Amino acid sequence: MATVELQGVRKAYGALTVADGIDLSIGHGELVCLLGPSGCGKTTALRLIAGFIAPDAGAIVVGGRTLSDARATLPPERRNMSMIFQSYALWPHMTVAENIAYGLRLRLRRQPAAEVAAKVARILAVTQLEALRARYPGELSGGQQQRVALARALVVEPETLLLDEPLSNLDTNLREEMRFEIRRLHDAFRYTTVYVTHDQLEAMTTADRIVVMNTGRIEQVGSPEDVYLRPQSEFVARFIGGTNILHGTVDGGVARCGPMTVAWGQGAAAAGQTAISVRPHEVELSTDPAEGENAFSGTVMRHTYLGAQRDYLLDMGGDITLRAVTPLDTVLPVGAAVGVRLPRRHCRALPR
Amino acid sequence: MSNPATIRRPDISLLLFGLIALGLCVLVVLPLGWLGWFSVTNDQGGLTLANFRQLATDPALLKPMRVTLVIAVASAAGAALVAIPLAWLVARTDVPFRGAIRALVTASFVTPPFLGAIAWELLAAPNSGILNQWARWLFGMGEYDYLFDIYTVTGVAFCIGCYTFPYVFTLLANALENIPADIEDASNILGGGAWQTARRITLPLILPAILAGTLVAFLQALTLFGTPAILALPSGFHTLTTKIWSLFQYPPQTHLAAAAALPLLGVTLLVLQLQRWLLGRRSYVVVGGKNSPPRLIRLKLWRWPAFALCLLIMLNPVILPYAALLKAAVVRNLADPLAWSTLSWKHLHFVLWEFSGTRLAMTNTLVLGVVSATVVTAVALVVGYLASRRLVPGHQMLPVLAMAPIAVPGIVMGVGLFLVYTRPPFVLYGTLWILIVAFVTLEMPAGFQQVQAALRGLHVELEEASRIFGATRLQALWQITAPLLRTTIIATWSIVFIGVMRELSATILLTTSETKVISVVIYDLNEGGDLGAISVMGLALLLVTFAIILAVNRLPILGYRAGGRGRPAI
Ligand SMILES: Nc1ncnc2c1ncn2[C@@H]1O[C@H](COP(=O)(O)OP(=O)(O)OP(=O)(O)O)[C@@H](O)[C@H]1O
Ligand SMILES: [Mg+2]
Repeated sequence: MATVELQGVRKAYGALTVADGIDLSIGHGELVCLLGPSGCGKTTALRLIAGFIAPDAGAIVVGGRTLSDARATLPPERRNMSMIFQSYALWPHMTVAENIAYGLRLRLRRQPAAEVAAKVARILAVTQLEALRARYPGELSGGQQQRVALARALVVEPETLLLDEPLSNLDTNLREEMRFEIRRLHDAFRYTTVYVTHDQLEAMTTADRIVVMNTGRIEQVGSPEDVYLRPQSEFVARFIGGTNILHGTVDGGVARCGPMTVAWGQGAAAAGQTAISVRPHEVELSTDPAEGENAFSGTVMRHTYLGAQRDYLLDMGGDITLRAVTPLDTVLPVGAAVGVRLPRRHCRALPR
Repeated sequence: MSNPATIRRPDISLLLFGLIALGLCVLVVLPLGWLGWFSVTNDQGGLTLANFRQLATDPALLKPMRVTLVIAVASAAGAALVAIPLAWLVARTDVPFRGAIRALVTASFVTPPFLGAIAWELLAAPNSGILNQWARWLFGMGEYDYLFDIYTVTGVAFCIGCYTFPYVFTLLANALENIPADIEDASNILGGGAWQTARRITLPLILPAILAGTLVAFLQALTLFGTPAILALPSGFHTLTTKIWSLFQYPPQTHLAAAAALPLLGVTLLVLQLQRWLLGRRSYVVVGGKNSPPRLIRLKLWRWPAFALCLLIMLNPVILPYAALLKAAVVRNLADPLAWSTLSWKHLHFVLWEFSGTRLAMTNTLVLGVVSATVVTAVALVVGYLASRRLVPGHQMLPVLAMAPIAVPGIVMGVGLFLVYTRPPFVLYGTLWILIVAFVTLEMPAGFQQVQAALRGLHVELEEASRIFGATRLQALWQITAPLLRTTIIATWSIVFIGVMRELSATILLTTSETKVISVVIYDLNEGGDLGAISVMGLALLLVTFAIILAVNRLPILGYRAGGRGRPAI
């Protein structure tokens, strides 16, 4: 059993607070993605879990056992975890097979060498690295190195697996392949996995749950659908999928945003100030003036052809611009006046 | 909730940190502190400015200062003048045998300056100098006429320049090789001709390197003891370093010596600051990376004349001196011409079997070299590790401390150490310990720079990866970091060892008859005029040096780049 719990974890470097009271509970065998912009503290969170750094306050509890708190920290070598580093950190003076066997030798000190060899052989087969076992890391391609790092981390059968942007050095095709590979291996072995990335697509396609982070804080935790469909804050709505945000004041069940009065169909507005989010592809455009609820008129400022879609930037008056992504058959010249409708059920009021 | 099996964060690294910080402080602060104190006191221990007054007024001190300045400026200017064309030819043109020319420059780099000076005595002493004998024979001059006299200010400056020009050469050659060809191409495309491009683009890019290298050459000349001691003293003039040394002869005037050493320290600090500023601004050269290797200029018809020029330059620091040493080592009498009938094992035999000083000096040099190299390497590793891994609060000050001795010239350090360790509570004078302290201090910056560069290229995650799989910090160090640093460790150790073998400026003040080392023995033998024996010893010294350099360069370089990506280096 290896549930991983972060309880009010706090870490600061001088005046800079990098982890600002993180509370998170990860279930056994769950794959959780830490997602956030560069510098928001993802790596720091991972290194706190691994025990490379000690929290200033709060505790890290794994499998019911407190491994880190402000007073003391169990060193990483005694946590039975495994990690894939952003740089892969393959040891250049050891062959592929030696790299993989290293952790096993340390952990299975009393086991016969034959067992180590058998396990190494098995993981080499799973990751399709048999042909490369005698090579040095310097003689491998980026994707092969990545697989070695994966094999090295998995062969020790860790209770917890930590991954720090493991795919950021790969090209697009290989990245997609490895994404599914990581998920497949996770489903096969069922260790608790914490996966750090700043790529939302990577998080969406691999995670059971996504933890969106911003400036050392957790913004929202939820399933990929949750964070996309039901963002709780402006930051999450913008960061996951991109969106239009209209700032305004709540006035009798509608939001007044400059010249526009918007009714929302989901979410909950805070009293007073609010933000309304509407995704670009939900914005409906027409050449005729729009009518009914949430109907406005605007001017086309820019048009970009995206291949399968068209991307319009609209001037709504009062310094408000909207982005709209439409099917190919909506053809509007720059400068044209257009009818704009924001369907109420797709307008989401954000509490923050 | 169970309590974690804990280790407290303040562990042995903190203790180690404290000890090393203290040690480094003592190494630098103690001698400089005493130096400062002695310079403002008199024999009775009273505070006084008389030492400085004497320094500013006494002609016996003023003249050496003037001479030193003239020599330093002249030799630095000469070094730059020679190094610039040489570096350009080697780095940017297709002149033949570039590798061999570079090897010769390296040879002059590691030749102990005092040995070069002795070799030039053999070559250009007014009467017996080989070159003067040739000149008499060639031009039919009289028996006591001569063309060259090495025992002059010009001679000293020339001889120093021979062994300081590699500083300019190395910096400049690196800078030239770092200019990508497209930077110059860009100027050509915009209509700049070859001459315009050289003047407007290339020159501004390399000027800081030239100036910085020249400043180092200047500093070396300013603080060198061996060359002026060998070439200036016989004809009765002093430089500041030899003057300081003479103040230690009976009756010792240590307070005046301390005051005289301070200007050297001050100028060094100033010049180093200037050099740092110059090289700091140089960083724009690197911007944009090495897009394309520099273009080699085809010399065509000029290839061989250019090679002849290189050879002509390299005659002075290496080819002629080595040949002269070799000849002096194998002929019976110094004046004998080289022929079968004059060959003799006399000097070799004398050095190896008859001369009592040899064995002691060799043993001492070996012991000092091994101990100093080991200590410097170990301390540099620990300091570099603590600093690069930010293991302890205040780690930033360790590299500063380790680099501080770079600003202390050998002779200044010698004076300071002499003052500290000739009196209680540390009476180390007369033992090898004082020399170990001197060498460790003086060589620490060079050793630390090596280690720091290597550790920077070694990703922390390599070690962390081993920790997460169950290795303790020590296991990770031993199994991962140590093997990856092996080449660096050996190179650092060798550099320090070579440095110890060639040191004379501090050593000369700190040795006694029981703690002679080879460099001092050579110096002593020179005073006795036994040039044959010196040649044998000098050549042995060079042989050991070259053997070490060759061995280090042959080390298998592991086929990787830190970080796990990239192709084998070779
Ligand atoms: N040892 C350190 N000392 C001081 N500041 C640090 C240290 N380590 C990290 N930081 C700072 O903490 C902040 C968060 O760093 P962290 O590495 O956790 O970001 P990240 O979310 O992983 O970013 P990225 O996506 O770029 O990897 C950054 O601003 C970084 O500069
Ligand atoms: Mg990171």
